[in-house]
Amino acid sequence: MTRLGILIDLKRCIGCDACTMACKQERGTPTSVMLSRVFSREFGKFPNTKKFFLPILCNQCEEPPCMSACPSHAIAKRKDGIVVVIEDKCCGAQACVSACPYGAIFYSDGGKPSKYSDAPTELERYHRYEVNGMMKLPSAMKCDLCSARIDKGMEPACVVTCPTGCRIFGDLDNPSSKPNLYLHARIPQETPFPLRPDASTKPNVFYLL
Amino acid sequence: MCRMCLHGCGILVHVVNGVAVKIDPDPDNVDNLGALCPRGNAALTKHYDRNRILKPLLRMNSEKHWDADPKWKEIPMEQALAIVAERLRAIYRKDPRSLLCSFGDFQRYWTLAWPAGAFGAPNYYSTLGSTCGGGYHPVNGAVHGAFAAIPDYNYCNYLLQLGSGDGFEGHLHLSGTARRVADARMRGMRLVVVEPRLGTAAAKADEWLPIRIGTDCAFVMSLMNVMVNELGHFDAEYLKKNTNAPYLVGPNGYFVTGGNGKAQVWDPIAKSPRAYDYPELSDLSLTGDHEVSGVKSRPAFEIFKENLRVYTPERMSEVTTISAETIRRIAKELVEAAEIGKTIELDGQVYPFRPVAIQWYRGAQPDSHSFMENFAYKMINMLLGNIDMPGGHLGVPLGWSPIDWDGDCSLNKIEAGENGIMKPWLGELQFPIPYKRLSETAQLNDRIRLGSEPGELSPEVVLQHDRFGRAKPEALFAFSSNPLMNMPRSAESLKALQTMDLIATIDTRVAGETTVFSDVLFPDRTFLESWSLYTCEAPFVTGHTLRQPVVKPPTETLDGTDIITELSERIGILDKWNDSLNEFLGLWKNQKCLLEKDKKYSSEEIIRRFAAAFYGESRNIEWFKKNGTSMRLKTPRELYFPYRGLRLPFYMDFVKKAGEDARTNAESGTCCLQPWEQGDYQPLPEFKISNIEVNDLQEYDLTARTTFGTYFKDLQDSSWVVEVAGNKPELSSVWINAETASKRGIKTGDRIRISSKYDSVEGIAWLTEGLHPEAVMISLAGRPRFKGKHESTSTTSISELLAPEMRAASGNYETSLRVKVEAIR
Repeated sequence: MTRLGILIDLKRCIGCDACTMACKQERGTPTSVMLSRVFSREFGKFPNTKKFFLPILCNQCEEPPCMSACPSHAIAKRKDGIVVVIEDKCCGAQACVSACPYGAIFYSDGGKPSKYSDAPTELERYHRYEVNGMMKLPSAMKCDLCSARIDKGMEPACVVTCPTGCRIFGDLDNPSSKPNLYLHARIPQETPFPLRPDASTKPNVFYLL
Repeated sequence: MCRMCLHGCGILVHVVNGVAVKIDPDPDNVDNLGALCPRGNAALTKHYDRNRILKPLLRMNSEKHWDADPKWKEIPMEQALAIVAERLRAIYRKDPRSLLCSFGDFQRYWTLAWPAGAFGAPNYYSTLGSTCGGGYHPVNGAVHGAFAAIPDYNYCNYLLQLGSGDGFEGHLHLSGTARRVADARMRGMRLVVVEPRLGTAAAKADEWLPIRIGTDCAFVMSLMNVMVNELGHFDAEYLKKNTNAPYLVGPNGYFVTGGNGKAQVWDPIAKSPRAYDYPELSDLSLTGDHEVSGVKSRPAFEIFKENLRVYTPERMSEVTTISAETIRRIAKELVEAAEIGKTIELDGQVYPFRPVAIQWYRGAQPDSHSFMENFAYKMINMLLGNIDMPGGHLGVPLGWSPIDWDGDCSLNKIEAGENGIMKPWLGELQFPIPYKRLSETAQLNDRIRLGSEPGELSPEVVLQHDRFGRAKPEALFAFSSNPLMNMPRSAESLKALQTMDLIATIDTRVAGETTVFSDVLFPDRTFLESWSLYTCEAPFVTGHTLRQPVVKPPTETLDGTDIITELSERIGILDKWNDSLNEFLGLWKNQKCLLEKDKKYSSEEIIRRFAAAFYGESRNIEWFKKNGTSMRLKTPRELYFPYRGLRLPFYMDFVKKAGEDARTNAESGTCCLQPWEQGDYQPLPEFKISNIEVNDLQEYDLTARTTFGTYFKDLQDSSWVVEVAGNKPELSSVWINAETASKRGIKTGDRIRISSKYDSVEGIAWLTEGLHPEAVMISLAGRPRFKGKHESTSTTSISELLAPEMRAASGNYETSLRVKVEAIR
């Protein structure tokens, strides 16, 4: 079985948002829809303060709660494990948005291309009418690991662009895939962990501290 | 090639039906290592920009102030060229020096040669240099024969960062450096970050030491005191063999010379002075008092060692707010990490192995004592014996092709100077500058003997031109530059601009403060529509990356290089412009590539000739079109220990000399507006309080600095940057320590007023536990102030709060400033 997923090494991540921007580019999402994001949070009191960065994206769950919540069966799981939205079927109930424990699903009607103006630039027109047009907004939107790129043999945009190389993409079931080789070679050895194991979603995005 | 900063990472652009829709990093470019930072990922929003200029614009409203509508009128390119060329031709014939220039396009750096080289206007109306590396570049030039510097992430095991952001938020080639630093951290490199703010580097550090703003130099002087006077642990062998630290210095502060005119050292075995190159020298003294032909002298190192004694950890802990115990511990960790005595073999060559480095950049730059700070930080690296050694502190050349540079200009420029010491390239910038009684330039850079051109002086020189015996400056020509934004006291700067008869600018969009005041605005082509072959401060690599058009440019636009060529022809200086290009790009290296005097060459043709002159036929422009880049990793021999037996300047006698010349000249002429502090022309570093405005400490009780995180001002109105950075208070607000803010009744999200003794600006407060209690950090990313077509965008800017108070050694003015902060109710 193929089980595509991403391993994120938080020790590498510098919270720079190159992934967030690469995703904006690749998917041309409307304003305030960020299918890939990085949260940062401070802990402690000065001068003993720590700051952490946490990249968040769709976890491509084995048991996706969004899929079971959708009343119109508009969310499906591909054979390679990627969870996708079938925009045609999206009825706008937005049950998926509230079902996702990771806040990784957005609902958008496309909105204005940007907050400044009604006159879209050529790029915004492309995103609106070509990319999002194909997605037939309004619809639910989520990260699909750049399935269009994967189908062309490329890696997801966020993975390719990451300056620190903190995102490692591949088939988690394949012992010689990039994530498994990375885990094997990493010093110190750590056990990857998923987010919200309590949600019983069996995610395919794992993190290393 | 990306152009979202000055460096130029390799990119691949995906074009669909003539529209560039996606930029990916070039996986084969070893400069950015197949990575691209968030700026590069937002680049398309700058190309497809609503404020893009598609046709030349003529200002119909002669009234110029912030609220005045420019009343732009679109005109044909030919008319725009004619209007500007006519004015410039008149100025050129009368006195070329009455044209002010503000050129700032690094990726088309040959255009920087136009003002002085082709037109004869050596003026510099910008603080591009003095807010950048006025102290940094000269010190790197003197010690490495390079422009910048970076830790050797290949081998470094212990890195002390002094507010540099290297590999986290900025500095050299963020994408590639972030990858290299992350790899180094993963293999166990310890990272200690000394910075007032818990930025990204501090967040990822093994240890964060929040320091009082402006006192890093005191911290480093104290570290050196502990290493030299308490632990007695440093790389003495390195200093003896590879620097001028053992050279004997007489009471006059200069090297003692023997009968043969050579600098003397002390031989402790023979108990006798010797010429520095005496062949049978078994040892050299670094310390002691020695008499040479009746002259009392001491090794340079001894003077340094004594100077350090005042920087006790106890005293410096009061200055820096870092405890004496921590200072002692860090000093010990550094010397232990240096593994002094250990060697490494690379490619059959044995090098000293020094896997420790102290790195800095931004924090030490726009400081009035920048030269002293940069010098001190270089010195601590020297004590560890790590200069250009595996694991240590490496020089990074600018890599442009200067006129007199033979061979690979991405390699350190090593030439013999006096007394066996490497010739100091105090810059690849400007040194030495001949003194002239009447300054030739608006920035008076013949008064600043090293460092960058102090453009912050230009507005006052313009407004008081009579005092300087100068004709009234008549026009400003700006290319990819925004002096109104980068000058301190922008009100003064604006006043100076209002006296201009003509302001002409070349830019891609009407968005900068200066473009808004233009009389004629030329529409430039973007990085996706124009040509360049470029490298800039690329660490670990050598080579060039190509910029080539991938989308069709709007018909009425012209590449900035071509605009300048067209104007040159019309002004009647095409021959001079072509000559400047021949020199600046090194086209003379190949006679076939030389531009003929009176022929017009397109930007593409200029780049074609540059490639052929630099690489010969093996890598001509066609090769670059196919391969994109010639970047390759430097070999160990290119990267490490390139000095060929020359010594590095530990003791900078030439800086002392430059200062004495400057002082003599200053006393004899009416050279300056204010008496400048000249004390930084010293042969050895010292900590000086650069704070800034020490008066009214009670009223102005906090110190403000700016931080731009990962984003530059240029990207502030990118819709994606606004969306992403605008969601993050640390990127879009003013940082205040939580307790400091509570005492003033300020909460996160409050509108606040930040006032210096000059002016006040407004911002939005973000309370944080990650900031020194005495500091205020003003972020420059996100949150536009204005919106809409042909209007300027800006966040809280501190330019208004600053005064051009500078120190003559580096040309830097002070950008840490005393402020008070209050909530706006």
